[in-house]
Amino acid sequence: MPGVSSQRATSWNRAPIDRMANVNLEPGTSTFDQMISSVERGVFMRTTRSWSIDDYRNKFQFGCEYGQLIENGKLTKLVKNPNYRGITAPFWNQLKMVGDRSTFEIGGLTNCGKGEPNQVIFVGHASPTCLFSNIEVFGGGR
Amino acid sequence: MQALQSSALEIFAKKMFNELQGDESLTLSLSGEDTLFTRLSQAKIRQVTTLHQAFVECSFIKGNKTTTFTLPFRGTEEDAAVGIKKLKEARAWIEKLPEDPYLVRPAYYGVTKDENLDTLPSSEEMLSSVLDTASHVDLAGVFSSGDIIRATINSAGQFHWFKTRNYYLDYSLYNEKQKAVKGLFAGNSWNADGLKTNIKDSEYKLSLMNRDSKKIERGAYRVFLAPSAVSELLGTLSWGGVSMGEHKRGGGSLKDLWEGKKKMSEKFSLAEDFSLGMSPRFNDKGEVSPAHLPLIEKGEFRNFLTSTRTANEFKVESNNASDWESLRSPVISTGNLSREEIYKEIGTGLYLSDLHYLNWSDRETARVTGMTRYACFWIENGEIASPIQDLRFDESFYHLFGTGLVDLTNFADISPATGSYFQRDVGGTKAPGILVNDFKFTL
Repeated sequence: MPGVSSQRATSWNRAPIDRMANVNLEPGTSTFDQMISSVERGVFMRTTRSWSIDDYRNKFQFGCEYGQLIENGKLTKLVKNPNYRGITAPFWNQLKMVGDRSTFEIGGLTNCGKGEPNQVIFVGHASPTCLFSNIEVFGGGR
Repeated sequence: MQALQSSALEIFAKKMFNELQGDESLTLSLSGEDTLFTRLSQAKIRQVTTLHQAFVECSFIKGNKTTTFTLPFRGTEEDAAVGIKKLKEARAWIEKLPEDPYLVRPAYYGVTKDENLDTLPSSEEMLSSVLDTASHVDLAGVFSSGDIIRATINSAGQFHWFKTRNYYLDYSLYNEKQKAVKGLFAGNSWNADGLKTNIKDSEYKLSLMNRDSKKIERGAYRVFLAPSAVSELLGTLSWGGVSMGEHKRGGGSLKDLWEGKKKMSEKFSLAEDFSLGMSPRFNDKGEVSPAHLPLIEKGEFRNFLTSTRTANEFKVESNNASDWESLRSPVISTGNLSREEIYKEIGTGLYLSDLHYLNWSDRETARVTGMTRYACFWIENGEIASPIQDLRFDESFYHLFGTGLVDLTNFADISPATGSYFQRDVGGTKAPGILVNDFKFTL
């Protein structure tokens, strides 16, 4: 397998290891309004604050800082402690719409821990807003 | 490189303190290590890092203002020249800073010297023993060994020095199906027979992983969490669960316990207990924590970890916690469940050896999520039936150590800290296993 120059070290005191550098989700063609207006009932989630995934990167759960209900194509009330969970392949098979470049931004977590001995390094992943269907969401203390 | 001596820090500090003027004060906090890191794959050396590093964090106060700067520290005369130059720079830039209303000024917290340098074979000898003992298994992991130093000295005269020499082998064994079990062998004294027994135990657990894995449907089950899994839970609890500052700011996860609205089981007691001897009692400021501080006693709130800064901000009493207000030496009291009774008492349910990637799913209700990992088994009629496919759980600490807690084991395991972000961690946990009813799996 040819190398792709992904080996990095967090500092002088750690040996370089393979790290994700700039893995981005490319923008699609849908505007933000088109995505929201297509939803009869759903949740708009933003800004991850809790994350957990297994070592096969399969079963995951994420919590967000901020969420709003989508009702009849419009953003309405705030929701409390919005979380979602899923399994990687089925989750991405529920992808319905991908936002255009106007929704594209660098976000998520800006650092990532990995390796033995441990290394924390800055990472950046850009993504457009995406619309998924039939995702398990929960929160509000329940 | 010559090992750092406490006298080197004292000499450096004296030169720095001699530079102080008027209402200035200074606290120097040293972290250092001499470490051999060896990454292992297929029981062979994959990568070696030899590391000698030491840093001094300098907390400089002038009037009611404060700033910090960090210096590399070699223990030579050149350190002072660099330090004095940086101090002069700090004196200039501190003028531009606002006053700090919760300032913690240096005080005299005594003088202690604790050097736990039991005789260990050389790192090369210990590593050679690891390679010999593991030559017949597929072992991956890291072997780490050497000295660790933590020290603080301040211009009010206090000086604490802690130096320990230890090692750990943090490893996984793999079978042909790429299923793994995890093992940890660590300490301050070397025991080659202990290493053989440790790896043999892991081999036995790995042999059980050869059976076909059972898929467990989501739902609530009777579950035994081994001490290593309970230690993972403590790691999450340490992250905002027992911090007074977090609770005062509204982000703490045991608010209902703190306010007396909820209790945990009478069987559950948690304390910060430095008699474990794995972590210094002093914090970065040199303040000395109580040798034993009950946090939760028989299910009821007793104390949260409170730093002096939090105490200043919220007008509460400090118990000299670190600024992070995280657990440094937590101990959970044991119960009545013997090792021999574990499978019988599970009956039909799950045995979980390890948990992985925990995080809060709802801080307000103390709910935590994470994954099962490594040697986790389905138990039927008191016997191991099969390994399980990985499961995601989502459960509240109030259930784990409260409504769902059946019993704790009558033994507890010490899990030394193996973290090595930026530097090797000190400290560890001492936790029993727990038997829990209706433990919820969600995925």
